[in-house]
Amino acid sequence: MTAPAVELSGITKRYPGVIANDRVSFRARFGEIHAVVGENGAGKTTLMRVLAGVTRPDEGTIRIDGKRVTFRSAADAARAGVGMVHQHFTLVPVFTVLENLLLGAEPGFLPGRAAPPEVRKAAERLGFLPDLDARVSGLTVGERQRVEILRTLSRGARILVLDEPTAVLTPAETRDFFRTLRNLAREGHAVVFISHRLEEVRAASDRVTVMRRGRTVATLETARATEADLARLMVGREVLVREGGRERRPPAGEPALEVRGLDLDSDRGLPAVRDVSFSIRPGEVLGLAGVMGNGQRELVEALAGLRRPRGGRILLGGEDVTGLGVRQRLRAGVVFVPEDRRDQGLVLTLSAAENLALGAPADPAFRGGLLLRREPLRAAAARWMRALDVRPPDPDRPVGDLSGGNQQKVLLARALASSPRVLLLAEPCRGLDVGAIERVHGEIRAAANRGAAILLVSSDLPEILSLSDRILVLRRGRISGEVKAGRTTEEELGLMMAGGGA
Amino acid sequence: MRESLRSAGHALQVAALALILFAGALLAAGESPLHLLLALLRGAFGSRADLARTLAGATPLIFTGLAVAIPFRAGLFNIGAEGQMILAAFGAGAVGAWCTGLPPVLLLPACAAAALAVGSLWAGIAGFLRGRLGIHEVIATILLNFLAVHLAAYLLRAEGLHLLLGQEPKSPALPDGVRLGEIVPGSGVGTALVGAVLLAAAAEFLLFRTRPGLALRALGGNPRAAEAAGISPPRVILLSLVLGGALAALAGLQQVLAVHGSYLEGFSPGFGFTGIAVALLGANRPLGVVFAAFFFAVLRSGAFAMDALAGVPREGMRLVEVMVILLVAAERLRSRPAPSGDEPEEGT
Repeated sequence: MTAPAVELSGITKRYPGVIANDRVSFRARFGEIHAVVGENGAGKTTLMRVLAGVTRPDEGTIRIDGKRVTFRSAADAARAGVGMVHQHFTLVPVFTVLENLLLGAEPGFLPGRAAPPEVRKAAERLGFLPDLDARVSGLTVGERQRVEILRTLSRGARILVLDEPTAVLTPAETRDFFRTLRNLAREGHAVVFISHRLEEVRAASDRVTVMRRGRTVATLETARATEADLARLMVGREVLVREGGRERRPPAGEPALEVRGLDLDSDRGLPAVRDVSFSIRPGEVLGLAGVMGNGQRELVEALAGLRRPRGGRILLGGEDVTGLGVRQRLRAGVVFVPEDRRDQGLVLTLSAAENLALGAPADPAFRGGLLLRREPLRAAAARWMRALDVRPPDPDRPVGDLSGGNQQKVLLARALASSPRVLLLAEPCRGLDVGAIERVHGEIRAAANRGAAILLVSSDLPEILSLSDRILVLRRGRISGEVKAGRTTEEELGLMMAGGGA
Repeated sequence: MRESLRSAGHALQVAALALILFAGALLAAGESPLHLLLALLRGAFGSRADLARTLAGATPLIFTGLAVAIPFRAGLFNIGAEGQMILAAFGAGAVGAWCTGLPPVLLLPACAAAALAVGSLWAGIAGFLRGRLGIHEVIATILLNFLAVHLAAYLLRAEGLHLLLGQEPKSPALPDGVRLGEIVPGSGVGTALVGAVLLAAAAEFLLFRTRPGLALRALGGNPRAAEAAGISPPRVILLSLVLGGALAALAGLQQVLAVHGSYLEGFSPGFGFTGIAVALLGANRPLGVVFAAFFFAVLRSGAFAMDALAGVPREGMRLVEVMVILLVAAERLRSRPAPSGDEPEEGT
């Protein structure tokens, strides 16, 4: 047998206060798709960064194709044939696709409009050639991701490392995406990806490595492992993978939130949402499904008070709040969890306690006049962090030190601490692991049971189906369908999102 | 508290490194660094008068350092402390000249009020431009600096204002009763210095123990998240620059009341600009600013002696200031996370 494509052994990486990787070993072969799963903070991203030369391990060795290597930078790794596609894309939005593909590998001058041969070859292998003159800012997330992969391949990568590649994709895009990965594996590449969605790990990978608390606990043939096996290995205990029957109080009473004929423009002044009307009653979870970029972001921003509508009205408990800003809406009980926690959610330089105090939630510890009452604030923050199992639950650490999934938990803690009347959740579980999703879903249900009206925007259809009472489908800024959650399927929703059906 | 200590230690390192680099430059120029260092220290601390000069020199730098540091915490670069200070000093001098009929008990607060009003208004213009119209504060404050210098010069000479009496370009001398004195005569420890240190403590409290301070730091950390959390960016931008302007105004007021006894054209050797270096070296922590202000005051005060005793031009000390700025900026670049975010365990 030939040498493995990748062989990491004894990798240890310490950060102040945490051991991210503790003597980790990992192997991947050419021609396989290898999934890496584990809880938030299990050390997956650190391991991938070590493999891609972004992070230097404190100890341990890296072998690529049997040869021992030391990576001082991502460029070293690229020369050895390892390319990484990051969770947060690294394309320059104002550049064209071609300019982005050439960035960092510019020949002396730009070669007109034709794609250079290495780009064309990579595109063939990938089965995708984008419009090279299109500006990246105009592409969908799925397209951007493929441009990112194309760039990595055109630099000669034979080992492709992807950090949560499907977190930002719609179900249809995800299917296409895995077909692409399969092509690459067939061409002899080694593909390693991190995922939190066990069903897609099961569907798409050949082998899977499970990490827990900084160590690899197992590497299995995917075909021989069930989702329940994987979940148990990740968490170290039994987990309910998909909750079944919902014990819920039926929503009742007058609508808490009502939207009438809302018209919104995008940042560029183009129509984003047209004539959207709906209402949510206390205790009700309204799911909003749709392919990303169909007006969801604009809609939740308008409801949060961050975007002025061009037309239409927003009513809160029967009162017109269309003209009110974020602060007044927060006071009225409208709480917003944005889809991008690093962009609109948290201030990474501030501590968790300070971030919790920022949103002015209703928990009395966070309220108060001009002065910050430190001790009550810290205690309450620690309590909320423990409630959502933020690791580590240290209220004084800058939230930028936490892993992505734990940052998301802090953001959710802030929203839940506000005892909201209306909760606007955009992709609340993006980047969370199964254990955390279980917990967050439980909290969302509990908030609904306490009488919050919840708008759940998610590109994860199973999530929408399991949490919502009703589901609206948003397509090109209009509501293209409404269904009861119990009486629909992923397929039907997918069709409505894509333009078929009601 | 731990952060304060760390930033103080860090500032010491930067300051020491800048001095070592300067010493290297001196060696290269054939001078003896040790000899010079001793001259510098003698100049700054050698006698009671030297020490007094050093302490007095630190006073305006604490104010201007704070004037830069506080907006910096909100993510704003106040290059305009110089202009805010000059115009505020002019305001204090003018009010002092016009209201000579008032008893000192009233005249002094009147001068202070004039300075604070002018300084915060001048900075407020930049705050308004940035917050409401999106005009970058660096551009606005730089231009306002030019405007301030020329406006003060024009108003000083304007016929109807009756400010220019003698040959010298300065406003009429203020009565002795409104001069700020020293707490211990001859020590350099003036009322203003005590005020400056207390004010730095108050600024520390404001930034880290109050809600407006939290809003200010949140805006500096992530404006979009701050906005989504209900903070109004235009309002906080305005607040932070107005505070900066008021602090710069106090530097001008101190110069008028405690040093010159009138508004003197060209009184500032660049206190406002040195304030930028002070804020940077002080890591934008108010208490760090106090430390950094003393460091620069020692350099400036000792530079006279270096000039006299060792024949090294005073401007040499400017070199150290510039090195501090470069070193701090380089440190920022180095510690800034990679574009993909080099935090531990991102996303796992």
